[in-house]
Amino acid sequence: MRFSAIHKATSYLMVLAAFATLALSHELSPPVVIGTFVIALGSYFFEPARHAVLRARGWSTTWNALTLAVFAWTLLEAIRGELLSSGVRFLCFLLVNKLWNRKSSRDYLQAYVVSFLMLVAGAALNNDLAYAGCFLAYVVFATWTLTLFHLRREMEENYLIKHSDDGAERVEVERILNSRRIVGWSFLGATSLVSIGVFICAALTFFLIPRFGFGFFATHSRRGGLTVGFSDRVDLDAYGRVKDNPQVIMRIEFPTGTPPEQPLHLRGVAFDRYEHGRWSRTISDNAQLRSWSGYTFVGHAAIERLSGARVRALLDHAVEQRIYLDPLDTSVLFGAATAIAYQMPQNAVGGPAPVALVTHGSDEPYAMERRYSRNFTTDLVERKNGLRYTVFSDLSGPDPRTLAAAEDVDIDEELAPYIAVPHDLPPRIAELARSITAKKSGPWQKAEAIRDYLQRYKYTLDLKRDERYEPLEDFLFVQRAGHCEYFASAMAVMLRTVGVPTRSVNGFYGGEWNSFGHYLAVRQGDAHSWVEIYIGGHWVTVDPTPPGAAVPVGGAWTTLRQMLDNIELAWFKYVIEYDLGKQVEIARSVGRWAQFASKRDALDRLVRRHAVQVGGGVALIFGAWMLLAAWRRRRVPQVRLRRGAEALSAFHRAVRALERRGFTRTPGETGRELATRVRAASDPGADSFGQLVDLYYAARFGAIPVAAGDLERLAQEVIRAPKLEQHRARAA
Amino acid sequence: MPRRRSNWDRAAGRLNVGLTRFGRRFRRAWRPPRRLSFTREGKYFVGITIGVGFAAINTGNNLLYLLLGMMLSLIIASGIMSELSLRDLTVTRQPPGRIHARRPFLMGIGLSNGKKRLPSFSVEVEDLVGERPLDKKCYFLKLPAGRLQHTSYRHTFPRRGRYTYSGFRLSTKFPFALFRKSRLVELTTEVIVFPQLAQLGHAAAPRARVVGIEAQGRKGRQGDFHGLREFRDGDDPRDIHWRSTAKAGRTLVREHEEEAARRVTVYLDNALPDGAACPDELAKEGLERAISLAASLAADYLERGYAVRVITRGDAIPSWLQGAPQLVRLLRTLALLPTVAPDVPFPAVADGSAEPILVVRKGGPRAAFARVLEA
Repeated sequence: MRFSAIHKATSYLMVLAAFATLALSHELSPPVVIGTFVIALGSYFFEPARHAVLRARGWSTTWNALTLAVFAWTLLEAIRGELLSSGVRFLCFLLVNKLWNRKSSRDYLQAYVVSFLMLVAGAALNNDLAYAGCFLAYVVFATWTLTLFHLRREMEENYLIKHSDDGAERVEVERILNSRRIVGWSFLGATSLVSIGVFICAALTFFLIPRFGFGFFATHSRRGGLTVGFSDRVDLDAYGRVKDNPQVIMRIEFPTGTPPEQPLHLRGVAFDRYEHGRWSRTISDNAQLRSWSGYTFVGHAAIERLSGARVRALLDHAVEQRIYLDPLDTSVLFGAATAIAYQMPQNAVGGPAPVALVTHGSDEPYAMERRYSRNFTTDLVERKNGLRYTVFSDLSGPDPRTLAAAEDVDIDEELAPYIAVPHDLPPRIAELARSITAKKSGPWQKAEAIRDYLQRYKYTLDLKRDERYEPLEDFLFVQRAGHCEYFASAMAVMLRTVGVPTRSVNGFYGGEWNSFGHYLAVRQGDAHSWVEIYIGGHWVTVDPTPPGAAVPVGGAWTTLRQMLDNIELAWFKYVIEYDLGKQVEIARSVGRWAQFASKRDALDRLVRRHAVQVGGGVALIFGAWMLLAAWRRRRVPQVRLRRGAEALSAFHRAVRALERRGFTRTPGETGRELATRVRAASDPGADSFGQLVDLYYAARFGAIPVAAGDLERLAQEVIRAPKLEQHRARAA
Repeated sequence: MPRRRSNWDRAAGRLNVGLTRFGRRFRRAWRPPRRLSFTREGKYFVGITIGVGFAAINTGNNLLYLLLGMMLSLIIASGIMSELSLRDLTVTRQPPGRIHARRPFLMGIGLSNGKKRLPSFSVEVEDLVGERPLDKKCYFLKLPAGRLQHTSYRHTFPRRGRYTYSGFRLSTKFPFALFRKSRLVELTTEVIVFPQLAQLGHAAAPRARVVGIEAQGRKGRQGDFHGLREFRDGDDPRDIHWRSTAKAGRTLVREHEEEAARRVTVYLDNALPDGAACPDELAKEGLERAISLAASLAADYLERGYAVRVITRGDAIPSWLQGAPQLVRLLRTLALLPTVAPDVPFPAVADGSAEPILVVRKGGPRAAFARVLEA
């Protein structure tokens, strides 16, 4: 490989890896991404040394003028408040500029600096696992590129001048840059090993640097594209096909490390008002929240008098869920119904927690981020860019007998919104509800009756809609098929018509258990709607949606997807969300390990406890060693020739045999020339002799080991080949 | 009183020398095995690293911590790779046969890589004269494992004399040019820098008139027997007088009449007003020119077959030198010729058959016994 070609290729790989961190950050618009990529890549095929236009003065002048113009534009945009995005676009322009003007090593260096700035900007804009991939690629390519760049510059500086009596003389740098002998695959391989070392060292440094995020000017938060599948509004006609979306938006860890017995209803937003196929919230009174030693209690627990014993009792019976929420287009906190308490991340260096909770009307809390403004006041803004928190939920629910025995509640002012139906609701909906619940008493029995009735309907995402009817009427009487929001809305509205307070809830249902990371992965496609019914002073969850078609589970693809998702969670947990608390946790576990290892029988116990793993590890190392040894044996040939002595002997014998057949080697005639002559005369030994000459050259002058058996065989073939006349006679 | 002061001075001088030597030994013993200095890029890199570190601590953005880790790791990797590049290298020096003052020469440098597998990249070799590196460097782009490569650098010494090369400085900026790491390799080589030889030109050469015999351009073996003298390098072995040699126990050769007549004595006035302590730089420069002229004259005569001797103040009478190989001996003597005070006399010379030449520096004292040439 030519040195300059390798250097150019690695340089492009490096800058493209840096550009990818920005391109995948959603900060740049697709035209900018595609334009930058295409123009930058196009420059690869135009070498300034070959194209005079790229060396012309006008070319650089034009680019300089363009740079000034773009800079002025960037400045204007920055003043308008789009500092980050305009800065990032300017970086893209600078990169393109440098790649089209790479005349000397200095231009390459400037392109590297731009690529590094892109990587820094990417760190601020892109938190995804994609950044990890780009970063890894950047480390490898940067190690190659910087090394090659150093060599290139040293060449340019040191080989530019040649000693001569009359002073300095320029020598052809181009020739040296085009040399194929300086670096090769082995060089790149060895440098890759260095970059692996760099990566490991970077990881160690990353984990060991103490995390004291003071946040003088900024607060730490995740960035990334907001996921819009979940909505805190319900519009039955505008329901997107989120069911097919496999994007994970939430991961839930349970302290037990086992999946929940029943699929969970992860509650998000509750709605009170229904009108023409739309659900919305009208209640503005904030539900009460109660803070207690780092916990924020909601619902009934927030109202009652709390004591240490009571808190312990509440939390002991609750199911703990550690939730890693991805950026979503809402700041609502999800949790299995019914949530009792939330625990938010605390400030590592003391002071108020960076994220506070508030409620809007219902029990569900919303995450609000504290922002410090310039006049030292604190503003609360909705936190939509991902969060890690813990929620404690009571999954037991009310006793079925209590539910069955519950009677209709008196509707007071507080419950009035949950019983309201639109005045123009088609009357046959209420009639249907009444007919279904005619023989039922109490809210629970009515709810069960309607739920059972709705089970006859078909669950479908392939909606047909007759615009002449009100959406619910269309669903109940015309289409008789729909998705979860139709089922939930129908049940909620029908129950309201028979005097049962209800609310429609949006959230997620189920999720996929990741057996690698032992957590529940909740996807966009798990978005769901259900109903909450007010029974005996409690809101009870009822899900009227019949089960849809079973999604095939298992297979290599699922395994791969789970593995990838597990890596992504690890990335968020241990890289993006890494903090002082985790550092302390790791230090403690290291301490435990050290304690364990310092005991005398540590090894014995380790082997006994993890016999399979230890055995497997030893077998793996042994196998790898055997493979390596076999590979080495394969590489080292059986016969190693010293200075090609045997090759010389075989060659001479073959030449003598040819002499006997009339091909006398003239003085100064090389072996290959003789082979060409013999071949031209169609001698039967010509092919063997040609191969012998090649091997002879390789062994004698190329210091390449050649098997003696091959030499001997070819020499014998030349010696035993029939004479030309005999050969022709035989052929005739 | 003056004597006491001089004792004090001597004691102080000795102490000074002792302290200097101790200092040198101390420095050598405590010299760090490697020296590290920043390159311009390295300074920027470290600056940016600190900036990224500050940004990471301020924002708490873990990806910036990751970047910081990468940058610190690159610094560490740079240290390890440069160490691998500099390790197990052996340097050799091949000085040319003759080095003259003010004449450029090529010093051969050989670098071998003793590592079994790893090549060394981007190694610079600087020759150290005394403790200081020369301004010229030898660059080795790639030195494969177990291989030896040669290169050379061009250098000019301004003055004659004895120069001691103390060793080499091997340095590398490999792999990222962030730092220049160097190590010293001790290898003492002494070179004698001969005086500069000037082109005199035949027309300007004064020898014919002085000596009285025009050059014949042939060896003087045919003349009458003049006497015996000791064998010197370059003498024709056929001139050895075996009988006398056997008798004397040392090799003696015949001297012929013609050879005796073709002799030149060059007196070189190596005196300066205060001897070696002369503060006058111009006078010193003049003396150097005079030595160069004397050497050039001697070289010219030797080349033309004359027997030459150069007599200086404070020296014994040297023997006659004849033949080109003797030139090196003469140049070596002149290269190391010390400066003396004007009161040191020339040795008394018995042979006054031909008019000698006196080479003096410009403005130096002249004498009547010889034809004077001013350098």
